[in-house]
Amino acid sequence: MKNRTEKTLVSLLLAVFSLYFLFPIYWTVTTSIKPKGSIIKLPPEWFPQRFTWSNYADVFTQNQIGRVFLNSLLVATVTTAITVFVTALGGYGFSRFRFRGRNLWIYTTIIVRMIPGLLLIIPYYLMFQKAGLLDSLFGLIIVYVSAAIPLAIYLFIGFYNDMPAEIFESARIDGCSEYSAFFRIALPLVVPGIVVTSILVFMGAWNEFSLSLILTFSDDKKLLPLAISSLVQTQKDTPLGTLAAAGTLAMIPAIVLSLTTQKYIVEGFTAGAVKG
Amino acid sequence: MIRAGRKGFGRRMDRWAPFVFTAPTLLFIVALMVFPFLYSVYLSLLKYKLTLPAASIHFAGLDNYRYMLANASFLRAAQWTFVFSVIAVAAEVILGMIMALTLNSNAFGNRTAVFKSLFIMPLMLAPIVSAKIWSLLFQVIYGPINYVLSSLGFDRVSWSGEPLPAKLSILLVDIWQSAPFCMLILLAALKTVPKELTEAAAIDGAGRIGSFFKITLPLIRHFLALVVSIRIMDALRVFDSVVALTNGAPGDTTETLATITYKTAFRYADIGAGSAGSILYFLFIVVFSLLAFVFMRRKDPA
Repeated sequence: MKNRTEKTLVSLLLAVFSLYFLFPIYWTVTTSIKPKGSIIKLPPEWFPQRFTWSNYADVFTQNQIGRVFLNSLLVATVTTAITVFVTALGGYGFSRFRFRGRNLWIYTTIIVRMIPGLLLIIPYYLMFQKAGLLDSLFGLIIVYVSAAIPLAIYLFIGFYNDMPAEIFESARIDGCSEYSAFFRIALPLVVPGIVVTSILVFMGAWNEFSLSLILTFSDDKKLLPLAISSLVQTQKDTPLGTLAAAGTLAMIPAIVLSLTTQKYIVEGFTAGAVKG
Repeated sequence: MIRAGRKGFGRRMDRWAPFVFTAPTLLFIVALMVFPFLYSVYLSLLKYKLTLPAASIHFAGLDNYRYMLANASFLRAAQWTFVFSVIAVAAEVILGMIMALTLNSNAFGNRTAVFKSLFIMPLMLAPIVSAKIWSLLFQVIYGPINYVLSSLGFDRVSWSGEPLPAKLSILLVDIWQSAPFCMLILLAALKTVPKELTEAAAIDGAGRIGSFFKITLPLIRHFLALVVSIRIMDALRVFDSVVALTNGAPGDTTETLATITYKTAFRYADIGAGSAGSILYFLFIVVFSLLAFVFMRRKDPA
């Protein structure tokens, strides 16, 4: 009897959650394949009756979405590579060595995490204007790396702290320099941490909007979130079908990621809290 | 001789190791976080408009701060950012907890596991994409939400035209995007609670709900604190979904500290006032985070 009430309650809740969390996705995907007449229609077509690719054709022909997609891929990949390289070294430095100013620097990285991105955008804009980095993907990448470093360094310090210090000591006694101890022992051990950090940094860069909104302006420098957002503003008569098609395309990586990487995301965010 | 020399060099290089490892990180933090922050403090003390010639830039003391603090839109934005963050984070954590408990239930064995992957899809989307997707649903005439409301006998709602629906729409999208994050972390938290403990408590007559509040919740309090602090920091920064859904409208009722600072600096080209606004915004985040931290510590029995 008790089990039956629980079954009913669980089913009911799952149905409500599915409606809230999945219907918007269902609606976007189905709208993207409806012809215009079926989109602007009352009552709404809950199940698409006719099918068309024209919304996707519009996205690709009118909006250079292929170029934009490659820009996003390039920026997110390079950002991830640089961030992981820099913080895999930095995290080791902070975890393994006790040097003067260490705590001061660790606190600095915690405090800069609280600075809202909007605060930094103003000085970035003026600095980049002087340095000729406005409207350049390279400029965006270095800004994204800086934005990702505070979280990444925190994660890496945690990963290295989990390794027993003795393995580094014994490597040193065996005649390894600090550098070969890092490359031969620490680096292979931290590979799972690199995976976790890479996923979080990549997603952050892939989804970022406000920095690219201000620091880039020409069409061939646009990233995906910005391109999708400007879809509506550029065409006054809101193209619902095109918007749905672009939204569907932007969701594909998210759906792939949610099916493959959830374990790593939990690991990334709960590193440190578990031992608490 | 040569070996001894190399050894000496190697030892000298080892002494530099802490510096070599940390220098790239510190370079980025100093050049692109600490320096711009200080530069922003300096800018906030200047009369500096992008539209006026450089010669017009001059020192203005605290004028920009006085201007922002006397600015009704800015104060309203601060108030709404605060209210938004409290409501959004509370709703997300509670909903995330209920979702985690539902998925953690053994009623259907392992068959509900697929819902976990389905429910976290919104979490992976770019916030701007989420907001755009929802704007399809919020369409006044052809949107499914208004259709359902009107079939139930309610009036059609202008989701970006009236203050309360506009605020509600931003909250709904934020909760949609972030409750799955809370669910994911809290589900991991629930897995750390030994089944025997809760079952024993339930047998002792504490009941399911009693054992949740007395046993489970205290055991996962670190995860809860983690989720709340991550979510508060994000909620206070809300920008993308506001730009995509209402752009601050109607009037300035849905402006947040992020959007109003952005508009002051770039739409009205007032770098000085925008910088002052963003410094105030930063102080707001620091105070709010410290309050949340103190509050969670106080409730922490350990």
